[in-house]
Amino acid sequence: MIRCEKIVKNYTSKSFVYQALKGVDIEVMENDFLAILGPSGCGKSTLLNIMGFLDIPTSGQYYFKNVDASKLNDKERSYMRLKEVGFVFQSFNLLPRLSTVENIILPALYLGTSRRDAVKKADEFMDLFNMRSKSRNSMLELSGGEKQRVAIIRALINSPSLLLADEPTGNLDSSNANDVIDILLELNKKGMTVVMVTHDINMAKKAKRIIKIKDGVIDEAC
Amino acid sequence: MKLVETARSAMIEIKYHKMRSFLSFFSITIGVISIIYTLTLVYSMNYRMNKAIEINGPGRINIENKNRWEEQGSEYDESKYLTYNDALAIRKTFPELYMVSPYFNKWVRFSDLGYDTYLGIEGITPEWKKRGWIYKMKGRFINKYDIDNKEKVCVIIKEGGWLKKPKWYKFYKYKDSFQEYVKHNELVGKDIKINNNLFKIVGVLEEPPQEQNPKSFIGVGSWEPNILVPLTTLQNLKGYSYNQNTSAIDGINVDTGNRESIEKYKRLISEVIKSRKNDASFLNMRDYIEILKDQMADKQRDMMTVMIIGIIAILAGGIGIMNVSLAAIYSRIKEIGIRRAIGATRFDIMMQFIVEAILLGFLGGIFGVIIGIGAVEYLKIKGDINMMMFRWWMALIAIVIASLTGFISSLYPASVAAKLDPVEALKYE
Repeated sequence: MIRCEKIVKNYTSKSFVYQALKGVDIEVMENDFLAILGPSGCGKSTLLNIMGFLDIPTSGQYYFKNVDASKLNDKERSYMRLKEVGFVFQSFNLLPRLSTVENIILPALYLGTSRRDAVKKADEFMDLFNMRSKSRNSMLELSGGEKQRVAIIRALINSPSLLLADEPTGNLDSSNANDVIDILLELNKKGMTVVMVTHDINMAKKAKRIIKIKDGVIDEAC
Repeated sequence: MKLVETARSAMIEIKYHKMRSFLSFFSITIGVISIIYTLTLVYSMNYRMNKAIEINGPGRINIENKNRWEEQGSEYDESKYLTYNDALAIRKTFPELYMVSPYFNKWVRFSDLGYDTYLGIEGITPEWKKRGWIYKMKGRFINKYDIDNKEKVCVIIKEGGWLKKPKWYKFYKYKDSFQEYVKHNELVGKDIKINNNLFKIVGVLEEPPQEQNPKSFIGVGSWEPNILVPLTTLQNLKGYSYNQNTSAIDGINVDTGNRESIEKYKRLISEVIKSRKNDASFLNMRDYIEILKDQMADKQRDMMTVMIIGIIAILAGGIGIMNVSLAAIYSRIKEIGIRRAIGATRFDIMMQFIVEAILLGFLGGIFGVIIGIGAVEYLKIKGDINMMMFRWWMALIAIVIASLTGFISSLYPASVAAKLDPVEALKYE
């Protein structure tokens, strides 16, 4: 499903060039659950951003379902983010002025789904994740665990084939963190391909595969 | 994203930042008020101008002596003045002209039993009635027989009064004693004295009430007499006039029948006069549109001032919206990053800011129109006749201009927002 070939990512400032990724090769098959493990600043989030069409590698090739990402323009990359990829972030990245349901349906609205259909689909997900009673609540009224569940539902609303989770348990207590990992495992069991970035070895161990990254290169794969 | 969803999202932002939104559309509101005012003035002036042309004739030319207002000395030279015969020559040479109406004014003494006054009267021919006829006639008008036989007959013009007097009229103290006399007497068939000559009143022309009188509504035009007499009779009547000689007249009103032929007939009439007097340089020929433009010049200046204030206010509003939009972008960088991360295109982000700014302009426009209409209605009640011509399309134009201002001012901020790097925007705190 995903193939990264010699991915290099440089960040350039006036005085120096920082190399975040130094030629990373990764392959992710369909229905895989891959954990990318590594310390802060090792380049794991950069890799996730490239996999999610948010960032462009400086060199190397990234293929998604055999589509060469370097051939896509900005609009096509947006469409891939919208339709093929679901993002879950450590800090939830929900819009504070919108209610739970409004946050969830936002990607569906960007896709052109009618509000009615989007809300109907959101309701089904909220029932599944036990969030229906909070559908009109503002983000300030939700706990960390609830916010992450909203973020996961938002990532699933357009039925993507890949779920990318960037430190999804980083801001949660252990109970909520376990709940979130259980949700990701459940989704993977149902056929969803999941790539999760974490620095927590215990969380990473729950994935099918682990790749360790250190200083922008793959240190160990197991 | 569908436009309606973008608008919904924009409304949430506008509601969330009530004060900021209010401040940015406030100057748009002021601009729209002045647009409404200016459009009302422009429309009213155009309407009045067209109405004036319709009443006075589309091909109207006024021919006068250049030195009409200079008092004539003892040496009268007929070749330097317009005469009744010149008018007859023009009529004879150009029978196709719709109207050739010579006129001559004099100050005379008018008396009837106990009533005695000095007033201006006008000597005319039957062609006078071809243009500007707004009257209800009692009796008859001056006819060819009266002209040919220098009959001592006259026609009185009676003012129409008001259906309902406006408030400002309370402060208008002047009462026309002659009109009071006309109002309280049955005049048709009555004998009166003009400069001690017995005249018979053969007709009364009653003007429509002021509210319905196109001439007062137009608010332009020259002095109008209270009494009309045959021109030939007045020429032989003693009385004060700028032209003391019996053959001279004050001027000739000509109507060619259409606007296009005005210039042609100005030239042809000038040639006729030149052939009769070897000189036409003493003539002052103005077409009616010129006269109207002169009379409306002051109003145009006022209008331009208001228009400039309106443009400045709208521009200030636009800059305000641009400023607010830019500030909003910097406070919403993270949000832009989130939206981009979940799939929004650059166009979606641009549209979000553009629609928000258009809505701000639109709301400012709506407020401006409401206040503007209120102000126009208030001025209308106060009796300012310029304010009577508000039309709903003006509100539409004002709102479109306001929304367009929002649109134009949002283009730069929106493009800044759309160009933000999603990864950098997501990291922004």
